[in-house]
Amino acid sequence: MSAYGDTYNVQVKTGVLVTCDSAAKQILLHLDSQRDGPRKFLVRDIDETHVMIKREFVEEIKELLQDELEKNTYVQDPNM
Amino acid sequence: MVQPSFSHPTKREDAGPSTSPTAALDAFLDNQHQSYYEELYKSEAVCLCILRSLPPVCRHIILHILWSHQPIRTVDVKLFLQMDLKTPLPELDEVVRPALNRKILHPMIHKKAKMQWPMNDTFKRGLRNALTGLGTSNSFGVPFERDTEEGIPTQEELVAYGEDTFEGILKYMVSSGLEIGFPVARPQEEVLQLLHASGLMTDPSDPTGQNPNINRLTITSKGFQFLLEDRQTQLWEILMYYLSAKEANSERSAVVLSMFFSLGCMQLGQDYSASASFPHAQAALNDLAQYGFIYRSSEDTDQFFPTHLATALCSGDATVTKSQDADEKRFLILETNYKIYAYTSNELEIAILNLFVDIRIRYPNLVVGKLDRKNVKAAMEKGISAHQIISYLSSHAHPQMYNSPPPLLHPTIVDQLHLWDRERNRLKAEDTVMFEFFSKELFDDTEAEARANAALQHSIPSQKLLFIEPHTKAAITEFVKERQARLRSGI
Repeated sequence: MSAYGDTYNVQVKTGVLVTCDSAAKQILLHLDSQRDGPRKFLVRDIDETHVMIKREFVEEIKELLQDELEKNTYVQDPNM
Repeated sequence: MVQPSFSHPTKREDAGPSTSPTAALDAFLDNQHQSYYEELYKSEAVCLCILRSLPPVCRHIILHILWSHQPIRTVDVKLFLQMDLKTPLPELDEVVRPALNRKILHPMIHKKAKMQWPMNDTFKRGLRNALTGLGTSNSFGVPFERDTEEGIPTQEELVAYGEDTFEGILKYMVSSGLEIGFPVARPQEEVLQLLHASGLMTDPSDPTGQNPNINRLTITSKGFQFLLEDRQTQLWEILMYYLSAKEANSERSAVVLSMFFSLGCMQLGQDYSASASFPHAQAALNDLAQYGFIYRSSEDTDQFFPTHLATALCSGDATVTKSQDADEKRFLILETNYKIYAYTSNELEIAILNLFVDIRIRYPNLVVGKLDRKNVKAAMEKGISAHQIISYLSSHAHPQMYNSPPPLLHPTIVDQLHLWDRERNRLKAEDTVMFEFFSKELFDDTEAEARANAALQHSIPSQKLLFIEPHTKAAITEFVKERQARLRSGI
């Protein structure tokens, strides 16, 4: 910090606070890492269970996460 | 972390608001004013039913002083309950809270160095009349004077009629939600309108809800939840929807509500005269016939028979309606391998099971199916929660299930249902405004301010990040600017 007046600076951003478990968060980070430019949705990786993302992506992300989780589900053979 | 507590699902259910079958009624009554109660308590039947709905302690206190001319003194209540004489007054108020809420007792007053609750005079008179058989309001119904014994339905016939009519409505609701519906009779127009107005059914092609085509109604998630409730709860909910529809038309609902209570005090198998019993609520009585609460041999007769749906309304005890068909209701065997055996041939029950069970085999009196992820999740998409499925399964458990050591439903299944429920919403998204600080001092002050105004969503002291509700952004920004100015000038 160059001038001491900057100490009291505050940055303000709006977005959507996402609360989730840490596994789901890792999937979100992974999804974001595969995107670039304006399609990136992550605003800030906050902590283990919180991320902040851009509002316009919320519904899309929810669906993508659901799809990702669906891939990891074991479907039992219905004839068993 | 949004970690569910699976270990005590039953505890949470107990704390839930919908434990009592009369929850809908209680919610309605809690919002009424003194004048509404004055009107209600003119009917002796209402006084009796409200008394029955109170907890035992309140009931005792009220009966204890019913014949006294004095208000209830707090000292007497303390002695009666064997409480410490130094018990603070608010604690005593809590004891009689249900009676205060129902305006049976007026709020505590201070008189000649004594604290006391005066009793509502209308209620006192009503209950005295109810107990002694005095009074002229005919609120317990006027028997119909008939000349012949012919054509009088038996109790069993009345029960069957009530059951058929009400289940017909439920069947119609559930069949609208299934891809392969089964043939059902369409309920009458007024019934459909109520189902739509109450939000239990909706017309998907009419998003505004203004001009629904009542022939094309489909069930909503609220409707699905309604289906899984026990019968007593369903009845009171329907009656309350009916009552609010009446109020929306700016009709007086007190007369109709006291009619519900009167019906609740009637005898199954007895016939009553509609014009003498409910001179001011004839239209409402006719409406209730469509739901199976009363039976009439023909449209224009003055004679009517209340069915068991009506007479069990105010029993104050949900088990009465249950016990009548306890054997029919207890038909489910759930194994630890998620297989379900349902000993039933009731179309409605099978249709409800079909909502969340993958039905594999169907015999005349037995249905075999399996709780699997796909079906349960499909049900959850429709708005049914894990709690509702669990309470449905346990309330319909076969007597054989009670022979194995408790808990009734195996924990693996209960936990799995909760897990499936959790899976759907692993993300909780809320609009936010993030404030990033560089000064610890400013961060702490702002955090305290946000916390005091209930604006704080989340805070990370280590990174000096604050997340606040968007609508408070202006106020918090203002606060931050003011603090900034002070801190800067302070140095």
